[in-house]
Amino acid sequence: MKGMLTKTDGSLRIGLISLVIFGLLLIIPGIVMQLGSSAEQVMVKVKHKFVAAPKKVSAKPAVEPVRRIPIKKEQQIAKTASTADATVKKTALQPNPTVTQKSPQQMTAVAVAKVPRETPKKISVQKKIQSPQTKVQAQKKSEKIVEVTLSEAPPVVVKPVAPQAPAIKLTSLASLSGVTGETTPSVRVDKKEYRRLFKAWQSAGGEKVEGEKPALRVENLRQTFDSFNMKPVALKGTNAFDLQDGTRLPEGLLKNYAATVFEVKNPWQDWGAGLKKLGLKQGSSIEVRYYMYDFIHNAIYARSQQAIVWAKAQGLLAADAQGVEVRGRAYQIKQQGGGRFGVFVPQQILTVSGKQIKVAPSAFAGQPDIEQLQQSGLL
Amino acid sequence: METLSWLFKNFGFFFAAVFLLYIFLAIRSLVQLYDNLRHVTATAVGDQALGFLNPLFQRLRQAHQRSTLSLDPVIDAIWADFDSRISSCQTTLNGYVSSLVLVGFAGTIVGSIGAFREMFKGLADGRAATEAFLASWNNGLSTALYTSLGSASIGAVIITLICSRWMQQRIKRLESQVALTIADILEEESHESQAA
Repeated sequence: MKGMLTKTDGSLRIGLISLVIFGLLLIIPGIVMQLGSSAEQVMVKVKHKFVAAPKKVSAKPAVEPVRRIPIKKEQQIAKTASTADATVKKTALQPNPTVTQKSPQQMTAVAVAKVPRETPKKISVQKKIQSPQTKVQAQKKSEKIVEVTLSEAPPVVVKPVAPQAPAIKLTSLASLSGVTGETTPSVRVDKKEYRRLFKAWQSAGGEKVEGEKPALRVENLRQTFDSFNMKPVALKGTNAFDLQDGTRLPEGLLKNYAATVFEVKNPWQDWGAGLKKLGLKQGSSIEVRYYMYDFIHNAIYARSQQAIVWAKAQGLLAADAQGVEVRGRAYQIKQQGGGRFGVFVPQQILTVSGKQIKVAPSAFAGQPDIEQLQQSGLL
Repeated sequence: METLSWLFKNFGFFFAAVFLLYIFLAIRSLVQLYDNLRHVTATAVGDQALGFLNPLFQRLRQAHQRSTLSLDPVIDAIWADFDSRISSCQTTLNGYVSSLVLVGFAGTIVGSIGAFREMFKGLADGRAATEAFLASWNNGLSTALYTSLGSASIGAVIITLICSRWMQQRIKRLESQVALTIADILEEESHESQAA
C-alpha cells in the first residue's frame, strides 16, 4: 500500500492520492444520501399495474410489459391468479377512432362514479360512493402491507400469460388533445334515475373481481378521464404532482386511491405540456401514473369479465381462450342540473389470433346503465 | 453517480464542472503541501523534510569552498526553491479560494437571471404560483443558491486548513530549518578553512 502511494525517493504520488481523495469525496456523499433517503412513502402502495396482454394482431402496436410492484408478498401469492397482469389499453383518440392507435392508451378500467362537484348533494353522493371503496380498502388496510419504494421495487415482473401480457399505457391527455371528431357519448337523466344508475354502477364495483383480468382498452378515455375520477400523477423522485392542476401532492394523499395504477410509457410524449408546466425539463426522468379508486377498477373489470363470459356462452369465444383484449367505450351519464359519472361498456373482444368478437348489449342484461344507454339509442 | 448527478442537476452543467475542477486542484495542492510537511514534527524536522534542497545545499558547500561571490545567489536559489515548494502551494490555494468565491458569485448571478426569467414568465402566463416557483427553482434558483453555498463552504474549508496551526507551525519550522542548514554549511566551511 505504501509502495503504491509513494515514489522511490519517498515522496508521495500526489496525482494518484489526489484522485483517490477526490473520488472518495464524490462517493461518500452519495452513499450518505442513499442511506439517508427514506423508503418511498409518498406514493400509494402499488399492488399491481395494468399490463396489456400482447396481441399478435398486426394492426396493433406492440405493447410493453408494465412493471409490477408487489407490495405485499402474501397478497401477491394469494392473488397470483386473480391479479394476473391485466393489460388495460386506452386507445388514443385518433381522427379515425376505429384505427388502432400506435400507442395503446391505458385505460382506467374502472368507471369512476364521479361525484358532481357543482351541487352540495353531489358531495353526499360522493361519500356514498366512497363507502364500498372504503370498505374494500379497509379490508386491505387491515392486512400488513409492506410499502415498496419505487427504488426498492423489484424488477419488472410480467406474469407469463399466453400470450404475453401487453403493457399498459396510460392515456395521455396531451396526446389526446387536438383529436377531433370524437365526443363523449352521454345521456342525461333525472335525479332519481341518476341515483339509481349510479348506485348500480357503484355496487358493481363493490364486488371483487376474481379470475384473470383481461386486457382492456377504452377508445374514448381521453374525454371520459375526468368522469372516472382518475388522478394523473407525475412522480419525480419522492415528489408527486397532480398533472391536472400542477399542485404537489402531500405525502400520503394517494393512499386514498386504489393500489392499482396505470403507468404511462412515454410520459413526455403524452404529458409533455403538463410536465413542462410543472417546471420540469424536457426529457428528464419522470413517471406518470393514473390513480383510481378500487371499486372503479373492480366495476370495469367486472363488466369486462361479463363480456367474456357472454362470448364464451354464445360460443363466439373458446372456453379456454386466454390473452383476450376487451375493447369498449366509456359513456357518461349526466344528471339534469349537473353531475356526471362514467361507465364502461365493452363492445368488442379481440382474441390472440386477431378475431374480433362484437359484444352485444344483451351481454349485460339487467345492468341499469346499459339499459338506459340502449333506450337512449347510444347502444 | 449520485453525487455527480446531484451536482450537475443543482449547480448546472458549467458550474458543476468548474466546481469539480477547483475541488480537484485544491485537493492536489493540499496533498502536495502535506507531502512537504509530513516529515516536520512538533519538535524536530526530519532529514527527509529538506531532501529536495540537498542538491542546492551541496552546491552551497561547493560555492563556499571556491569563493564567497556566488554564495548569495545560491542562498537565494535555495529560498526560491523552498518557496516554489511550500509558499507556492499556499498561494495557489489562496488563489483557488478567491476564484471559487468569484465563480460562486457568477453562479448566483446567472442562476438569479434564469430564476427571475422563469418566474416572470410563469406569472405572465398566468400559471399558478407554485408552478412558477417550481419552474424558477429548476431553471436557475437552485444554481444560484447552491453555487454560493458551495463556494462559501469550500472556501471556508480551504482557508481553515491553510491557516491551521498545524500547517503554519510546520511551515515556519521548515523555514527555520532551511535557514539553520544554510548557517551550518557556512559555519562548517569556515571552520574547515580556519583549520586548514
